Amino acid sequence: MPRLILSRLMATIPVVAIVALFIFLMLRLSPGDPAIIMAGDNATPAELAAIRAQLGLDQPLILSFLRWAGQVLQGDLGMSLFAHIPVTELIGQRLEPTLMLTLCATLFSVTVAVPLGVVAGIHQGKLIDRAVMVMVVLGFSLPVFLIGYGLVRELSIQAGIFPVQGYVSLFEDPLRSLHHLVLPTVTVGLAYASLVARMTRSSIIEVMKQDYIRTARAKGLRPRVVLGIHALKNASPPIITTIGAGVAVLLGGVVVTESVFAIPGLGRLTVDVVLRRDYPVIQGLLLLFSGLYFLVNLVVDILYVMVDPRVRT
Amino acid sequence: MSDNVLEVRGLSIAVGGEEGDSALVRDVNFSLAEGKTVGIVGESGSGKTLTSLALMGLLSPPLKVTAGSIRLAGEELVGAPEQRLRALRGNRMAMVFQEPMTSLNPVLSIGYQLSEALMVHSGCSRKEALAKAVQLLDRVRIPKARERLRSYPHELSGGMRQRVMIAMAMMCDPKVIVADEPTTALDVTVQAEVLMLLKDLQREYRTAVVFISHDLGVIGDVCDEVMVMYRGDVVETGAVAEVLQRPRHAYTAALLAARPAFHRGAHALRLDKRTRLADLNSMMEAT
Amino acid sequence: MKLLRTRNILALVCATYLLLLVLSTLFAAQITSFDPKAMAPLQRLQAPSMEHWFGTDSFGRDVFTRTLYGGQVSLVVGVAVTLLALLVGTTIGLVSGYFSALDKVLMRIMDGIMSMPGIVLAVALMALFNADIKTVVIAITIPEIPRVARLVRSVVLTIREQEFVQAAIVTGCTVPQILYRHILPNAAGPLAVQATFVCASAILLEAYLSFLGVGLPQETPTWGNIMSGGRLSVQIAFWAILYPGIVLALTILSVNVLGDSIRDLFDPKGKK
Repeated sequence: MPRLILSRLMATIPVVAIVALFIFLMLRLSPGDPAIIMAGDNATPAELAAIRAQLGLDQPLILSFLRWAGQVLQGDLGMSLFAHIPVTELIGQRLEPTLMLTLCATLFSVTVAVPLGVVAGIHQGKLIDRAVMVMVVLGFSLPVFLIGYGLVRELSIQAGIFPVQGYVSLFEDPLRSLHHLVLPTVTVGLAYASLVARMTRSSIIEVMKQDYIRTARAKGLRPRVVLGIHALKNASPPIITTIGAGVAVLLGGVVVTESVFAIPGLGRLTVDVVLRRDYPVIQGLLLLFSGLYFLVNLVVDILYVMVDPRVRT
Repeated sequence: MSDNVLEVRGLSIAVGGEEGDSALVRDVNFSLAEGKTVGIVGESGSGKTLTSLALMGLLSPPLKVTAGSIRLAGEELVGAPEQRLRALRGNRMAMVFQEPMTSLNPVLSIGYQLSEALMVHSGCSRKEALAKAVQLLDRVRIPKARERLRSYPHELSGGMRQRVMIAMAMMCDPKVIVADEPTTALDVTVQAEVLMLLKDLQREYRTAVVFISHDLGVIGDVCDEVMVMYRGDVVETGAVAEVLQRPRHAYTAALLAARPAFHRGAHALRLDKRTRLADLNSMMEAT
Repeated sequence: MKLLRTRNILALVCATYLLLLVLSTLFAAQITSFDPKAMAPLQRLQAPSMEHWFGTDSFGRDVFTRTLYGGQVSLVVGVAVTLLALLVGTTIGLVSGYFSALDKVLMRIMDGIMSMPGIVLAVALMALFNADIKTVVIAITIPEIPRVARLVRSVVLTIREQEFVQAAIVTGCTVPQILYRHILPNAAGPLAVQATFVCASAILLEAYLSFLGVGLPQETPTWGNIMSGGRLSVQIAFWAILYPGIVLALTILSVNVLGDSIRDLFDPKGKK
């Protein structure tokens, strides 16, 4: 197992390097002098020079990339140009709400989507299947803010069941925290759940056609056993892969949802810093999102191997 | 009559459609005594696989049995509740399928798949079931049986997998084994071994076998009686030596003629040299 | 047969809706007399009525008018992104599938792009340039390229080994000829399907960008920023969010359904 983790990590490194390179180059791609953009028109040459040195703009590309990469690997993401605190600290402040929302949304989606997908798959063509497929199409077609505001209007404003917006830290008041998270979770989770449900359904359909299912039935096993053990284990790999790949969709939804529900997380931070052209923070955030994605996929790969013995050799 | 482990009378299978049922298999009759083997031979589309599935109660809609009776040790299977059929499947009646590559579940260990049926049908523990599994694996001549329990199907060769399938079928000491082209997907040398294995087991456990194949040579080696099927109808039945040496139906003769001539089996085939397989349809219409 | 008919009706309905939408946005000036940018504070936040079908927003602008004009932008962006993504993605896919030396590098880059949420990447790209329509199109195109590239690449990999390609090589076809005349037509079907999904995704992404405030500035209406403007008055004037939102949702839905229908044409097994 450790060998596996190592080999997967090794495989990811080239991609991570390319991502890092791209993120690094972003700064230099923008037209105009980034230093002037950040410092403003009235900056003195000394100030400009200081900013350039800070961003490494005064050095040859490769050198400054290596320097930056070295810093990143040591955990130094630079300083925010506007908040004047380290980027890592800034991100740290906003990390919890985003993580909580992402976690809740993932749990919600998977627990809803997989059973739905299975039910739709085994009753292929019947009413329940069509109903699920309609929900699936709606799920990833409806814009997140429409779902969000719709829910807010119905359940918060009219019915008063849930708070309209805001976030309460888990450590401060767990119950209220979860209460505030319900609507955002559903809003974010819907699109993701649709992806997972759809893949679950088609995976189950494929698996149920296989010969070994026929063999299992020929042994007189009960349908629940056939489904739960024989079918599900074989259907899992594509589902697990989709759960991993869908994280990008999930995080995207989180970014927009934070805006809808005024949750002070990384999504809101991203929007703020982009408007202010606070490049170090933007770079840090991109690295973080990308890193999260790779981490999740690493976990997915490990799960994959645990489920399918054929991959172990 | 009541000695027969399997009695099939007037079995007909159809597929339900929007405009009513279309018959796929018509009026199959045969009896099978303990320790005997009946072969069902025919080309693809003859209905032999459908018949085998019907015996096991594995026909799924829109396929259904439209008429006839199947009696397993006197008990009527047609129309029996699914729960009862499930209790019998894998237990009193077991099936061996054609494709060993795909018929075993790739993500479950051999030991698990072997012990499943026994645990369900006899209520014994995993340990006990695995012990019996080792015995049977030995019996089907799989080396290092105990270690094999933890292996996965993809680690075994085709011939070994088919032996595992046979062992799996034998786990609950069934009275009848339905074998649907069990050797077709195997190499010729492996085929011979597996067939010999089947015959040995049959002698030892007195299991009755329904053996389906399109290969007359194999049928000739293994079966006591044979049924020839063509497009859903049984065109000839009888003792295997009779049918193969003195075919009464044109189709049977054509089947025999179609075989490459390197089979010098014990059954010397005396054929009308003018019989050709090509014009089968007109032959059938003429009869 | 029955199933096919319901599918066909649905696809027809969606196609009709889209046609109507495109026509209405094209002829927006003829349909409504209001100026999408003119503010009329006296009329602010009026509920939908005969005069203002979708009501007015917090600046007194007619929401229906702004939705129609907004449709122009959203649709143009959607189509532009789709075409651009198809162009770039197909080229990358063709090259990557055919020349394995480049394949490794190109696919790693595609993986890198896919590792970031589309929205995040698009938002970040908006930080580089001014917020005009060209930037928006590029910012949205980049996250969509990998899907197209991977699709084309997999088609190329499959087709490359087939005999008619070997025959073409032997008869002296140049590489571009092989790519465009022999391999590309095989990818046309799946590409058409993927194009619709890219289009739906692009329209959605543009709306998100505008909603978040990093897309086009507020005066030029797009569906996203109309809804963004309506945020502040969610409680009293929901129509500013609801109606443009419904139009947006219906559009994306229709494009997605059309995509599904086209896919069913090519893959009647209907597994997915």
